[in-house]
Amino acid sequence: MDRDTRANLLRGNLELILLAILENGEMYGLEIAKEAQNRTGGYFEFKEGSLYPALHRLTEGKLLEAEFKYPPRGGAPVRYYRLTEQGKKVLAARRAEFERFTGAMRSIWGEL
Amino acid sequence: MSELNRYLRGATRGLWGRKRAEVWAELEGNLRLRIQELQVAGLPEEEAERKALEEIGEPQIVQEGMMRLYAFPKVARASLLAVLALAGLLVILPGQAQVSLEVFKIHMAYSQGNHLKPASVWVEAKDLTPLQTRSGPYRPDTLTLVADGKTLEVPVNTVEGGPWDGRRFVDLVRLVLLAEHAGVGVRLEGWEKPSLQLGATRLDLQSLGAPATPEDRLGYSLYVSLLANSLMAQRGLRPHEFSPNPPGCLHQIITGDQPGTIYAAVSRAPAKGARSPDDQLTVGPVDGSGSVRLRLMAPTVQFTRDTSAIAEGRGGLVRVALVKITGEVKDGGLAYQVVMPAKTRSQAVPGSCR
Repeated sequence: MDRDTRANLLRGNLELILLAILENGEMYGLEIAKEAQNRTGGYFEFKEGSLYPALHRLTEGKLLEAEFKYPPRGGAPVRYYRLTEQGKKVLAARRAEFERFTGAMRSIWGEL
Repeated sequence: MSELNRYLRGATRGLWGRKRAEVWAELEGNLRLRIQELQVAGLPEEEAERKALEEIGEPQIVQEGMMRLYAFPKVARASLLAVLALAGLLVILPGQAQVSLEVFKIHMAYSQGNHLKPASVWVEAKDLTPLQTRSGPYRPDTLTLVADGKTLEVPVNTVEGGPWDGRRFVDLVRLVLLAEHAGVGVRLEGWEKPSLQLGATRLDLQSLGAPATPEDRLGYSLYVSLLANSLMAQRGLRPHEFSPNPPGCLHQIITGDQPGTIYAAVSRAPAKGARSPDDQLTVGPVDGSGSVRLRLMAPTVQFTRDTSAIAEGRGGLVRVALVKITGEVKDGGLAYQVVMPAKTRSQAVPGSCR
């Protein structure tokens, strides 16, 4: 698959990816970026910077809540994000929708 | 300026006040952690910084995304005006046809916590006609103004819903920052009746209503907003905490300066639980006796020239940097000098703590 197609897929699903990563508990930007890279085996190529506006958008939309804290290993304070109750509901609904979509695509090309 | 600071300035360009402080602090925190990781992995500091910046990408990635989200604060998102405290003010533009503008001071509550940012100051777009260009197409979200021969594209917020539906407003602080960025000479002067010099045009701002507290003044809002930008960019301080009615103790600080000169103080609030500490910023004018009265965080404070002592919260005493404001707007904020008052330690006015 070419790079542009992957970039479009990433853009379209970035919020779902972020919500799914945060399902495991609170994280800050750098951790989220690493987790996204690890879980997708580097499939999506993105710059960490592109995550921050999306994280803020989700926070403004009350799907995430954020708080500055010192990370356990020390260093500068960072903004931790966690799912709100509303965020958990939206994640469940979007994931179900995504699964229906991929299921429908599979049936179109004959896989079951 | 370090590469890190250059990145942070670029990524937060166009944002201001508390939001800029938040984005700045978040990016800086994550970048410093990454630099630390890379150093532990064996890279020298400079190379670690370069690699961390490469990983995060161009500053425009963050800046453009954040501007789309925050450039038009919640005014454009309806119903906000229901929670506004409005003060009618008058702006006169001498040297032009004398024009009266109503200026609206708006306190915006943030969704996270109960903190307020300094009141933002808005002018209605139709009242800036004397600065408008005669030509050019009408665009609902932009006002094209001319100052000092420079063309300024100023974002406009349109109120949706409510009794003010369709009225268009310009954020005065954004107008100032855009003008300065475009190379227009900008100065902010005065306190009771502050004035803004935008190139050859002088905007005299006069409050018609009495402010509820000293911090509720129009001058206070303008100085704090513009100074917060400078302190963050140049000193790494994070003035997060603004309130129209801040806690603390009133200090009478002898400056020996001309009455009306504006001073500010910045200090770091003790950390509350897991929250990171905030830097508190307060502003006031010198009175007839050469003193300035500022509300600071503790009954006893120690003044310092070393702003890193504040940022690192060293020592038992609350450390405060006293800042003299020159009035000139440059490099994205108000120009200032850190100064030492006649006495390096200050005791609060008895009975003034709250």
